[in-house]
Amino acid sequence: MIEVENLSKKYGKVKIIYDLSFKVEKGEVVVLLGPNGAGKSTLLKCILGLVRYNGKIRVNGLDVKKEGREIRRKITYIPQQFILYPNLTVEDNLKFYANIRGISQNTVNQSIEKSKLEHFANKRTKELSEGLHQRLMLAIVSLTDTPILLFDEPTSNLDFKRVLEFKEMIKEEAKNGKTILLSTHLLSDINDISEKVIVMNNGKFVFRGNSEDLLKKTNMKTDITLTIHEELNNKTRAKIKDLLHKAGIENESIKNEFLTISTEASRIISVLKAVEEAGLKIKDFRISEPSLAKAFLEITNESDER
Amino acid sequence: MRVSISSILTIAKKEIKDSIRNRWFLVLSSIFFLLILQIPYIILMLLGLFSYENVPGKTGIFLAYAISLGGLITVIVGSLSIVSEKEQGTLSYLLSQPVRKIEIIIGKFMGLLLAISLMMSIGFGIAMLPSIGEAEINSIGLENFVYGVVTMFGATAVMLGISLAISVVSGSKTMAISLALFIWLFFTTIYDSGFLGTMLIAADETQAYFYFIFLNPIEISEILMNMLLNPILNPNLSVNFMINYFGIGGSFEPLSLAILVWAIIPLGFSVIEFYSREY
Repeated sequence: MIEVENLSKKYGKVKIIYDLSFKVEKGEVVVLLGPNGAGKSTLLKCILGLVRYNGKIRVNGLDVKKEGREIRRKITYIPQQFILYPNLTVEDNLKFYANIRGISQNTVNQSIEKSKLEHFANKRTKELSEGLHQRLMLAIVSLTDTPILLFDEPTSNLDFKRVLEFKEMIKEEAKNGKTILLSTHLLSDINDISEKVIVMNNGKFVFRGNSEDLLKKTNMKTDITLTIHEELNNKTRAKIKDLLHKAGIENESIKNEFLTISTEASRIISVLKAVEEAGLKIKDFRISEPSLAKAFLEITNESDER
Repeated sequence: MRVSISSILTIAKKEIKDSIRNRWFLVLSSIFFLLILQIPYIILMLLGLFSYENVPGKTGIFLAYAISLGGLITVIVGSLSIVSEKEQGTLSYLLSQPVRKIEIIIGKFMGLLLAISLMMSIGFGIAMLPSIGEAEINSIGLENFVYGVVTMFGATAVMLGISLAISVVSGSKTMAISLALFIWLFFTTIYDSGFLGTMLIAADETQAYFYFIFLNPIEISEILMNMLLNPILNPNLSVNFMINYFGIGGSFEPLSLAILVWAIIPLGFSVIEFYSREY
């Protein structure tokens, strides 16, 4: 479990994190979402005890400031950048990180085998392809079996196939009861894997909840576009407008045979009823759900303006 | 604060492997081995300027260059050690492991010291090879020869400590290399010229300025090496001057102690600076 209380962090005179408090319970998957420079990586570094900070951070009950080394034993951190030594071989890279954590040679061998890196074990990492780099990085990460995983922009350097594999890995680790905190600026990372989302901007939390709550908070509307069989005359236009207004729907636009309404998703039925009452025959019916990207932009712009 | 020996050894081992496989390390080592110890010697022999006798004494002629070039290799390799890890992103990951910063610095220091010392030993060993069993090498005495080799490792430790400090404080590899080359040039050339100039100007008060020699670890090592190995000639004027002052076979202690102090202070500074910085 990670407990953060009144965390603030400055680099020189510039404040990066403002008085943050939150908890990640045991076995929870939390996505830390925010644009570049929001303070996500710094927050992760604070949890690892790699940077000085004000406030309190406890990991599994241990104070990060006092017991950084012990805490780092319980955490696997996956940074944004490559973590490989280019002059060392695949096996030497794995052995190095394994020895640092006191992991046996047997586990190293198993990891090489599991990652299908046997044929490259004696190759220097600088001679490997991008795909093999990624495979080796995942092999290094999977050497450890820690209860807490911290990911810093894990998918930013991965190709599409690896992103899917990565998401599967997260799901698997979550099933095994691991506590996961994942920072990202990619909204696509939220889908499927997150239970809880924290949106961060300019060092502050601007939202906490799940992705549905995020949409609700921004009051994003669903766009309904109806294509009517015939072009709407003035009389029909007035009638449909009146019916929609009576149903409490104000935001409509009528052009030729197209009727576009922007409203909450729950009012779709009311819209359809109003159209039926107006005696219109629907040729085509389209719904555009509000996008998480829009909600994210709205919420971060809002916090920029504050 | 408990320091983990196994973490230090793991990092040291990695540094040795990394250095041995590093292209620049191999290139510089080859230059050290070929240019300084072998090629000038062979050329002078071919020119008939030296006979194939008194090899240790003649090798001493090149000691000044050997220590200087050894220092150059050390500052280049050492100054890149932390900053290149920072640039390639491995440092963040290493720091996220259960290791302390002091273990990283000591591990790197030990690993690089061993790698460079090994390379120098091979170079010197091969240079001395023709004279093994000859009367001349016995005249120096094995004890002095070993002391000389240890002195050279000491000089390496000093330059490594300084270059690690440079690596910790530098923001980029370019900055680290530039600072390292300046420090090397300062100790091998600029300081020497300034020191001689000062002594010439000081005239009668020269003795007071002798103590300034302790501010230059390269010079200290060269004096000590020359006192130990008794070469027939040393091209470095201030070193010759100081050898006359200390005397061949004179007291080694103050110079040895100065090398030790020079090795500890920059290393200690590197550790303190490394702790004060955030990665």
